[in-house]
Amino acid sequence: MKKRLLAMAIICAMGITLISGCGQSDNTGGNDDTKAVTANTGTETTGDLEEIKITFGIHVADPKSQESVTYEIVEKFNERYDGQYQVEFVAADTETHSTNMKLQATDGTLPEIFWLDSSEAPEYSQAGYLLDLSDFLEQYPDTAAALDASVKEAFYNSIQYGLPYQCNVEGFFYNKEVFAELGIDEPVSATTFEELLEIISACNEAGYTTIAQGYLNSSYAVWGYLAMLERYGYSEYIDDILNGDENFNNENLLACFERFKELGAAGAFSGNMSTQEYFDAKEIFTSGQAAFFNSGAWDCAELDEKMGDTVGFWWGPTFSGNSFNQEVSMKVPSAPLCVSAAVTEDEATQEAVYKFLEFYYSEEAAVISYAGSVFPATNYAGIEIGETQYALSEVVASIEDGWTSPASQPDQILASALQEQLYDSIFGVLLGNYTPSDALDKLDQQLQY
Amino acid sequence: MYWLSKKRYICGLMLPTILVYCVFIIVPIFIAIRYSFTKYSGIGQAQFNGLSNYKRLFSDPIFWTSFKNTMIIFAVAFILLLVGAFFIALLLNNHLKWNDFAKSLIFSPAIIAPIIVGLIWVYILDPEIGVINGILGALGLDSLKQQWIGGNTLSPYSIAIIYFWQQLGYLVTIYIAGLKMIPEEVLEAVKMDGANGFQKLRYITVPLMKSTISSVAVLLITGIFKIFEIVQQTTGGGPNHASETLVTYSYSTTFSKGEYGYGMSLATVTFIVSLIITGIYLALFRDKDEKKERAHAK
Amino acid sequence: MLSKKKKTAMTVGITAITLLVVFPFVWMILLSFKTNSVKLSILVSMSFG
Repeated sequence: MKKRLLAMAIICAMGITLISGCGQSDNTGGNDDTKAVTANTGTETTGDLEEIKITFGIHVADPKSQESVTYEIVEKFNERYDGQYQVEFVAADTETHSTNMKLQATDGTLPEIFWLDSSEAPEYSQAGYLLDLSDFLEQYPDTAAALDASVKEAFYNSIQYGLPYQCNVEGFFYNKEVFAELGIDEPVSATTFEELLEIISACNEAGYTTIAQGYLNSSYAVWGYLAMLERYGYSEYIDDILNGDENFNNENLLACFERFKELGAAGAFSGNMSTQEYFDAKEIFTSGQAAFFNSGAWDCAELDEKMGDTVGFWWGPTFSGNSFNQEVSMKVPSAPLCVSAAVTEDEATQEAVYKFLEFYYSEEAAVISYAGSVFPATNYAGIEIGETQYALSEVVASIEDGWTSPASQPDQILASALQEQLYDSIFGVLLGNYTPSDALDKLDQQLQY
Repeated sequence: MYWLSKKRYICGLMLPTILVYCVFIIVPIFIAIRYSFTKYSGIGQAQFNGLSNYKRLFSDPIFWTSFKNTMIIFAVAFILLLVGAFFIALLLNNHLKWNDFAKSLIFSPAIIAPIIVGLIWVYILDPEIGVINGILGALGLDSLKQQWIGGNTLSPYSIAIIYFWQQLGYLVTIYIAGLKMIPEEVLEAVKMDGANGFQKLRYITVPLMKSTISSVAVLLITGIFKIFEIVQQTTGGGPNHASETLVTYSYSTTFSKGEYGYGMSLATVTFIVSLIITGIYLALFRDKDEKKERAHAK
Repeated sequence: MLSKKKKTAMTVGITAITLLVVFPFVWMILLSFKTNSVKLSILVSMSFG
């Protein structure tokens, strides 16, 4: 009898241990890489006031160092509304963040505000997870006015499912000292593809890498080539392609991809591009070993620090014998900030979110952005740039050329799988692994799935 | 403790473990198989699409590339580790000076996180900045420089070598434990009978180590099919999927491309392939005496 | 008991294997004393100092 009781007791103890070990925690879903600074929305009573906490799901593991401008904006907001509202980050690297958002959408624990990849946001919207921000824009007309119609349109599909996180300005940074040493002219807005080939030749002779480019775990680093797609009319027929009325393998894109092939064949890249990451490529550029760096304005602060006034900015080559507009720049809305539809369940939380968005798109936040060398999504004019913000000044000077930008970044309007295939196709041609025609056929094939 | 031998108590005590095993190992396999018959982006609802994913899989050139790479890694790493680790264990199983120190050094790669292993080997195998090509260049052997990683052909072999380096110490330790289980009296008797080293190895050591070798083989098969971080860190599966393995391709399809359904079909096929290979190995190398005993028992 | 010749041969073998296994660590430690830009430069693979 005693032995039987002892056995039952052991079994019960093990069962209880199992159940308690498998019990859910209070934290938001995700894996060990997610630094959950806070749990779900809650309120905290401080004296007579209830401080409303809202979570901000961000796509970097360490917002303070990796998204310092956003971090500072949040800090300023928390300071301004101390005791009333508190915004806290739920941080994870981009891939983990994307997975977490999918999981949390399924179990209804999305953060109140979160960054979403442009390719995924429409699906979230269709599934009903996102709040229609038209109401916010109506309630805050000043904020609505500060956001150009184009940036709002970028994230409108029957509802305003997001507002741009920032503005991306993308192209090629170049090292003025390399050009001075080579004795060749620095690239300007009208520099042609043929002139670029001459630059490549000069760089190769002198032992410089022409374009610092990483591909390892960095397939998204195609920014400088996106304007080239636009200069072959991408925006004019992409809707037809996505509707099935046209193929990716058409004469215009084929001509563009032939140029990519020429770039690769001319030796524009280092021999280990496929084992080098984007960050390694940045290091190669900032240490003076490369003439160009394929990137965007988000790197301005680091380039200022490491290269000072030796850095210039260029929109990329134009193409002669091409009927499309060549004066194309790439100043486009970045991925959207979205709001969970669940915030409407609590008026106070919704108001807190709206207050944060109002601050995020305010002129004060824009000043913080420019000080951190980041282009905000808003259109406030007359904000001064610091004297030592050399790279940002170069980017601004290029913008002042007045070239037109597409409404959205060419890859951001594609679904995830198609987007990945676009990256694969571009790099495949640059590396010489695909012919231009094969690369475009792969895109057509992916579109079928 | 006779009462613990009673079947119902044994079952009761095993129940929590079996439950955990089912929930975290068995059930996810069936969930993955279920999703492999759907089109699902991870958002919203999964849509059943029958065998479309499998039809796509068998006509997908990247799948066959990843399958080929996995088989290359398997063949190279399996043979190198199964045989190489055994002979190193034989060497280390002697009472020599510094043997214990050597054992700990040889084991050291096994304690490093696989992602760090990949990072270390990038600086050795990279065609431009790697030390191997650097040494070859310094010796004037530029013609022997290769794209050890980042090219279209040698990456799977390089990954097999990296995996060999990482797992060597761990398997050597298992082999040494197996060697220590061989009775001393048997070894002395063999010596007295005048057997040489090779005869001792062939007729005594290897037969008595069969179960250890079998365990090592199964560990290798399952481990090789799980290689992921090394590939991610050295080549990322590239360039253009040239060095993908079944696992990395399944991962990138699922989480980068957002094609959960197709990714799960790749994972299901990977699971079946590893089961088949393990089954073949166990069937081929099952102990003949064991087979006879089972036949008699029937 | 192993003969002296055998012992020496075995020791040499084990030493060689151990050095090969340990070399990647040694290389990483050497590289850790260099700046990032030197690591990424082609020249670093040619130097051991």
